[in-house]
Amino acid sequence: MPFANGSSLFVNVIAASVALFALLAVSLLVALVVVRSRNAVLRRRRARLTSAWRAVFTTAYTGAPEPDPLPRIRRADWFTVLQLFVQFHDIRDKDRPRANEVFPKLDALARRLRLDDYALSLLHRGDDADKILALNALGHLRDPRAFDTAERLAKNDGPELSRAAAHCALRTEPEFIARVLELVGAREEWIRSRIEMMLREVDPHRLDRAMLGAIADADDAGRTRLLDFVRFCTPSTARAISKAVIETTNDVEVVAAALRSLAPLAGPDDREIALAFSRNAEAVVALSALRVLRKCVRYDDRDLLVELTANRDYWVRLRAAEVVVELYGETGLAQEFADLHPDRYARDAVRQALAERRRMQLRRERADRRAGAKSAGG
Amino acid sequence: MTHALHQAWDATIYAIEYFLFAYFLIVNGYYVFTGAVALVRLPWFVKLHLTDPVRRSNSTLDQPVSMLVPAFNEREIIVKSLESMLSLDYANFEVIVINDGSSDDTLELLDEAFELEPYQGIYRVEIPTAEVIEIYQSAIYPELKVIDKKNGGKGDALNAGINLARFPLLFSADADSYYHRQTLQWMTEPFQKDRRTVVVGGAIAVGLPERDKNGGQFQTELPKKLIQRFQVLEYLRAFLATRMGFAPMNALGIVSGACGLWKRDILVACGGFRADTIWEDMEMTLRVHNFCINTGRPYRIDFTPYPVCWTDVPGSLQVLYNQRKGWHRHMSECMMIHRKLLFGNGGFFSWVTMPYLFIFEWLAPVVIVFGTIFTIVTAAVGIVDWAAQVWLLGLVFVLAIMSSVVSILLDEISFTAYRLSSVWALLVATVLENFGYRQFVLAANFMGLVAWLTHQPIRGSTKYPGFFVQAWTPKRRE
Repeated sequence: MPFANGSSLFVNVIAASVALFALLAVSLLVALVVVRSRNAVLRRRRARLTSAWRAVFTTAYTGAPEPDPLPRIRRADWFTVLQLFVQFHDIRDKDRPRANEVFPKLDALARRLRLDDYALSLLHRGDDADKILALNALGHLRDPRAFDTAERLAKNDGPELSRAAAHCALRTEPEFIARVLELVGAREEWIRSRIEMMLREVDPHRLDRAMLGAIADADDAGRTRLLDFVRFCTPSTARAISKAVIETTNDVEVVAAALRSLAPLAGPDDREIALAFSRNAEAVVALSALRVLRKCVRYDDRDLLVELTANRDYWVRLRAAEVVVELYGETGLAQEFADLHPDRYARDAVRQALAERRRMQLRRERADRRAGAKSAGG
Repeated sequence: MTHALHQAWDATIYAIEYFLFAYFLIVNGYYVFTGAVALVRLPWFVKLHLTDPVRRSNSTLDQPVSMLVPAFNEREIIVKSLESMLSLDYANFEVIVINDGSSDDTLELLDEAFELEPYQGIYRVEIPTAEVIEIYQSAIYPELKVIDKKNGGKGDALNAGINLARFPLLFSADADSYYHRQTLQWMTEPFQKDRRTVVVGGAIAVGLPERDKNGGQFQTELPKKLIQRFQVLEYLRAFLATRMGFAPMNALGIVSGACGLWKRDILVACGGFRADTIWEDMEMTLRVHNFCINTGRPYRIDFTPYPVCWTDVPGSLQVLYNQRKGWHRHMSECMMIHRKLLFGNGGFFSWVTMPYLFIFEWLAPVVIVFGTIFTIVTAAVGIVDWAAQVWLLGLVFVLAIMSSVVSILLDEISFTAYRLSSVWALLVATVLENFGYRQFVLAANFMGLVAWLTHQPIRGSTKYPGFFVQAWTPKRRE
C-alpha cells in the first residue's frame, strides 16, 4: 500500500513534489519581488516623465512658451510620451471650441519630437494594444503613412483593434467613412458609444452621403444598427433616411429603429406615420411610434391616447402616458385625463409620467443651478 | 474468512487514500488552470486599458442603469455611500435605496441629507415582496429614490428595487462599499460588445481606496488587522485567479452581490432574487445559468477585472465565523436548488464549474475534516506511515502558499491595487494563514453545512463597522 510504506515510490514522488512546488513557490516569490521592484521604479520614473511632458503638452492649450530644452526622451520613455500625446488629444469639453487652435500646435510638437515615426514603428512591430495606441496617435496626426495598415487592420477580428484601425483610417482619409459605416453595420461587437465618438468627428454632409449608401446596401440587422447613428447626419437627411426606411421595409426591428431615429427630428408632417404605427401589435414598434407622436401630438389624438394608455403592455401604457403629459403640459389637464380614465392601469401610467416629468424638471433645474454656480465662481 | 476481511479492510483503506489524494490533485489542478488563464489574460486586459481607455465623455448611446442599494441599519455609512454613488461618472442612471425595515434611524438620516418627499409615480409589482410602506424621491437629487419597506432580507429588498427600476440594466450595490467613478462605464461595455451578455461581475478589493500622489491611479490601503489581511488574500484569489479563469469560458459560478450589473429582463424572467435563501448572489447567478440553459437563450456572464469596488471585511473572529457559516449555508442551498446543473447540458459550466463548486467547494469541509481525522487515526494506529503524511501535509502548505503568491503576482502585473509596503505584509500573511486561519474558516464552513442540514438559522451579527465607517464620519444630528 503506497501510503503505508515510507520508502515506497509514492512517498518519494510526494517528497519530490514538495521540493518541486517549493522551488516553484520560491521562483514565483522572486518573480513577484522583481516585478514589484520594477513596477516601483517604473512608476516613479513614469510619474516624473508624465509630469515633465504634461508641462510641455499643456503649452499647446495655454499658449505659454515650451520649456527649453525639452525633456529628454529615453528609449523606454517613448511609449509613455506617445500615450500622453493621445490623452491630450482627448480634449475636455470646455476646450472643445478651441480645438482648431490647440490641435495644430500639439501635432506640430509631436512631429518635431518624431512621435509619428515612433508610432509607425509601434504599429508594425507591437502587439494589439501597442497597435491601438499607435493608431490613435497616427489618426490624430492625420498621418497618411498609416492608412494602408489601418485599412488592413480594420478587418481584424479583435473588436478594439479593428475599431481603432477604422478610426485611424477615417481620420487620415475622410472618404473612408463609407467603409466605416459598412463595418458599423456588420460589426455588432463594436461599442456604440465609441462609434459615436468616431462619427461625431465626421463632417455631417459627408456622413449623409455615406449613410445613404450604407443603409441602402445593408441587410436588416445592419440597417437596424446603422439607424442608431443616423442622428449624426444633418437633420434633413436623417429624417429622409428614417422615413424612406419606414416606407420600404417590413422588418419589425428595422421599422422600430427607423421610428426611433426619426423621433428627435419629428414634426407635424410625421404625425401620420406616428398614428399609423402606434397601434402596431408589436410593442417595440408601437413604443417607437409613440416617441414620434410625442413630438407632434394634437388634441385630436385624445381618443387614441385613451386607448393606448390602457394597452396591455406596461411600456406602451407608460409611453402613451408620456405623450399625454407632453400634450397637456403643466395645465392640470393631464391629471384630469387620468382621473377620468376608466382604466386604473392607465391612471397609474399617467401618474407615473407626471412624476417622471417632475423628476426631469428637477434635474434640469439642478443642472442649471450648478452651471450658474460654476459661472459665478469663474 | 479472517484473511478475506483483512483484504477487504486493506482495500477500503487503500481506496480512501486514493480518493483523498485524487481529490487533492484535482482541486489543485483547478487552481493551476484558473491561475494560468488569469496569468495569460490579465496583462492583456491591463495594456488594453492603458492604450484604449474608457472614454471620458458620456455617450448618449450608453444604456441607462438603475443602481439598487439595499440598506438594513446602515446609519453610519449610508449618506456618504450614496453621495459617492450619486457622483458616478455616467450619462443616465438612477439610485434606488431600499430601506429593508431598518430598526435604526437610516431613513431619518436619508431624509435629512437628501430632503425626501413622497414619490408620485407608480410602484409596479412584477415580483412580490414584503409590504412596501412608502416610496420617496429626493428633492435635491432627482435621480435618487428610496423605498421604505418591511424587513424581508436582501433578496426581497432587491426585488422591491427591481419593481421600481425604470432602466434595462440593474446594478446591485452594497451600502457599505465604495465605487470607482467610472464603474458604470467599465461595466456596461461588455453589454455593448456582446448582445448575449446578461450579467457582468466586477472585481472587488478589500481596503480603503486613496488616490496616488499624482492624483491618478487608486491605491488601496491594506487593513491593519491580520485577520483582515488574510481576507485580502482570499479576495485576490477569488477575483483575480478564480473568476478571471472561469469567465472566458462563460462559466462564472457567482457574481458578487456588491458589484454586479444585471439585465433587468433576465432577473424578471427568472422571478427575481430569492428571499428564502440566506444570501442571494450565488443563487441568482446559478439561476440565470439554469434559466438560459433550459430555455436555450444564448447568454454570457462576463467579468471585468478592473478594480471598481472597494469593500470592508470582518475584523473579529466572531463576525467572520458568522459570515463564513452563512456563506457556506447559502452555498448548500444553492447546490441543492441547482443540483441538476451538475453534469447537465450546460457544457463547460455543467462539467467543470459545477463539479468544482459542488465537490471542491461545497463538500470540501466534509472531505477535509474526514481526511484529517482518517489520516491522524490511521497514522496513529500504524496503518499508514507518518513520514508520508508529513510530506503530504508539506505539499498542501506549499501549494496553498503558491496559490496565494500567484494571486499577489496577478495583482502586481495587473492593476497594482495595493501599495509597495502592502505586498510584503501580504507575503507574510500567505505563510501565516496556513496556521490557524484556514482551519478556522474550514470549521465555520463545516458548521454552515451542519446549520443547513439541521435547518438552523445563522445567529449573530455579520455586520462589521470598519474602515469606511471610520473614514466617513456620519453627520452629527441636532
